[in-house]
Amino acid sequence: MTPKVIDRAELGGNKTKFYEVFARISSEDALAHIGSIEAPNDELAQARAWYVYDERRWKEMCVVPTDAVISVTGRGARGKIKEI
Amino acid sequence: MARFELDQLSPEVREGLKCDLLALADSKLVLANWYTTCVHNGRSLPDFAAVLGMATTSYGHTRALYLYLGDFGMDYAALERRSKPGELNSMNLLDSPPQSWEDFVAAVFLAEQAMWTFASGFLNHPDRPLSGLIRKIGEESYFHLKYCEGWRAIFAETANPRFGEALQQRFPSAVSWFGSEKTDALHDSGVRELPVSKLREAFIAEVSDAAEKAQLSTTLASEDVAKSGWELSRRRSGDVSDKLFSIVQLKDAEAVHD
Repeated sequence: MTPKVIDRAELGGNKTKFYEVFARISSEDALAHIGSIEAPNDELAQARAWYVYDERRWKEMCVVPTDAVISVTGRGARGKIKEI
Repeated sequence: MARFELDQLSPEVREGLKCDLLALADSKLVLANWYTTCVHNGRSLPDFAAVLGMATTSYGHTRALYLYLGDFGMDYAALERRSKPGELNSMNLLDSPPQSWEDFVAAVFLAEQAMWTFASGFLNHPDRPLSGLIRKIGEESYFHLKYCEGWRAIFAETANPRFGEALQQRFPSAVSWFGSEKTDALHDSGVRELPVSKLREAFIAEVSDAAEKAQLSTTLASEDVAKSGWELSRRRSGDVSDKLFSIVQLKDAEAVHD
């Protein structure tokens, strides 16, 4: 019997990317980063984020492509060093 | 504002509303079981979580609708514990199990779209508990449909023809859920905002749009429900199979160890 081959499309797309998930419980709270999610497109990112981070009754939830996030400081550092 | 009373409705309209809500609740029950059975095919952890989430919300819709049907004199426990396949009024679309992941997404999309389009006819129902329940169903169905939309985009992007083929194959039984009646007593009496024929048109338009995006060139065909033994009171023809009924039938916790 030939084993079933699971390709990238079946796993959720050829161009899987990460999204950062932000949410708040009430309108008074600031949007806070609650985690990240892997998805090939904006639609699946929204659906997956909603169900993966469903531990609270969120008033608002947003997803942002990780690629769109511009780092101001260095990773884990207070400042950046100009790359030579 | 005067409180809405079901007793104000004529017996015909009251019975029609009860049947439509039961058909919706039973279809949600079978769909929830589809999700539960197929959850292991969520091919990544977030996909697994999404399918499981859609299962639980679908069960929640069923239970909330069963509770509401108590106002019609229906017993919640009796609704949960029906003993014969002929007592289940779920849509024909969900009778046959998914043959592939593409078929699963196509069937789930058609079922979710049909159910939400149909339920939206009660979104401004004068009975606030019902309109509130329908609004909640709509908010949760939004994410179910987003999930389908995301997968449709992947199938289109990868030029996968199997999704379009499955959509085409399942469409006739999906559209048959709306029936083909020209008149709608529930709409005429103000219980349903739009007649079912208009909701049917809206459903066809949504599916046609999805078919176009899936690069499906063939026209979607519907079947003549009058010829298939379709019953308005159950929104289906025939009974679900014994096998499907054994899957969706409520199992008491004690039964797991029998």
